Amino acid sequence: MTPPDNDEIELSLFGPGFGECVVVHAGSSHWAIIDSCIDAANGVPASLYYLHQMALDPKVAVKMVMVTHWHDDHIRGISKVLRACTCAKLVIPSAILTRDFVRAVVEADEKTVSANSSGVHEIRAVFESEQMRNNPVLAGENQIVWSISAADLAHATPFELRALSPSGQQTLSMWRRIGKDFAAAKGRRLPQAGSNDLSIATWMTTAGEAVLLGADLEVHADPTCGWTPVINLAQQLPGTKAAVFKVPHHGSPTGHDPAVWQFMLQPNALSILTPWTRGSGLPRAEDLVRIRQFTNHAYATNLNQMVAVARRDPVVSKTLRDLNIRLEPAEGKLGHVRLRKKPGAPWAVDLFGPASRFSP
Amino acid sequence: MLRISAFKERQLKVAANSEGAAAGVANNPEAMNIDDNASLLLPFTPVAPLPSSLTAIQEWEGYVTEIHETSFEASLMDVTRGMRYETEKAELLISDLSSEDRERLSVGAIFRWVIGYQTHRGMRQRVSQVYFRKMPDWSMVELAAVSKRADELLESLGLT
Repeated sequence: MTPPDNDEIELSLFGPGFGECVVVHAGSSHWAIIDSCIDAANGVPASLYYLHQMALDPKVAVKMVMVTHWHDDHIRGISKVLRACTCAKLVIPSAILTRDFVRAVVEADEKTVSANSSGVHEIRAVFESEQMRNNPVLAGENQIVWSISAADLAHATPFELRALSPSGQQTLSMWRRIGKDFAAAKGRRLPQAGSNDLSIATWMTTAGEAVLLGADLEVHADPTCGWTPVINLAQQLPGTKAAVFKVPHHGSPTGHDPAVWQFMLQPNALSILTPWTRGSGLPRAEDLVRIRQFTNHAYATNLNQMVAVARRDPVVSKTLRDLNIRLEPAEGKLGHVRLRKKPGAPWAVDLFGPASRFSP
Repeated sequence: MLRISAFKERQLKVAANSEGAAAGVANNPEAMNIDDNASLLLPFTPVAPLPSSLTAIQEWEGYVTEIHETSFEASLMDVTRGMRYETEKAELLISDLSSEDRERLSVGAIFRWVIGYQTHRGMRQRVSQVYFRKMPDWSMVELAAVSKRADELLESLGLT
């Protein structure tokens, strides 16, 4: 795997079906990692394995690590990422750095009777990391979280990453909305419903282009939450409309606001998404049809390739057959959509693993 | 450095005394030289030890994701292979649960599923058993210790 040129921007999206991770090259070996997922093939965070494939040392290369929200699927392996990226600035949603949430995380982590490295365990590791003691950036609405001047970049254009959410109102009401989930958990695995609107959507501008990374941000009935305040910000954002869009929440209708396509994205914006292979799965066929109505350039890291269920002892296999229990894979193969460009050139798309184009 | 909580220390003591405990084998990507301290700290241990007559061939830890009228769906973590995350799922029958475990059945509830051989009076029988985690009885000392750890973290984050 060859690294990008110094004057080349890169946006890489990884997604196995549970989890996603974005790796950004701003130019001149300035890298950022947004969220974390695990490659089931090697048990390693996908971001770190990718840097390893390019013979890059995360201690030196990674300047920023962002956690967009605390859900399991976005922070699996984040503690390993932070331990490897010792020089990186940490960015977390301002909404989660509250006394109530931190205390609830510690208590839930200690009381969950599981060997699983759960999201609660990982977010606690974030709070306990060295980076938290090193002036982390607490991201909120319309806040620049990472910037590099043109003089420091080979492509001679400034780079800026700006948080678009969570809104002030979401930050204030956060504990009221998810506190009861923690109180009710009592040693069980925490449900994850109801707090995607606390995630950080980001606006990236560089080399004359804008990119909108939607994280898991969802539409919300309350106009002070979710996508509405972000769309209202749109006119204040630097750069033109975005040419690239990381579709939020795995392409689900709950993340879809047509106003995003109308006011924030160029026509036929290059759109990328990761799947969700739990429950009934996302994106559904109708979600792909909907996205194709807005763009001819749509890619997914994995639409249907699952990791095979492990072969087991014949006694175990026979027992499962006798009981009529069918084990199914819950983990997809890791797919990788890579976008690279130099100033003035179009985005080049490369697909790895099960990643595919789902538009004509 | 991850701490072991008072409760998890108790789990380890139970495991040390239990013949049926599985020694979790952690994923350790040595080839990449990535610090993986977390995987060394917490081998998988049951809250209550397995019956000494049960020899496990395959174990999963799972949690309930959906409950239907006669069955429940679960995400499964293969403990026998030393996995730290769920990679499989299955639908299991509620009628296969003990009456005690049916009362513990709820979304998010954590259980252990063991397939193996049980020996009784010289007779060997192949079994599949699901044990739901009993919620531990927290002592005041343990609760105070958890609260203290939370206070320490809050102080280090400047949130006191």
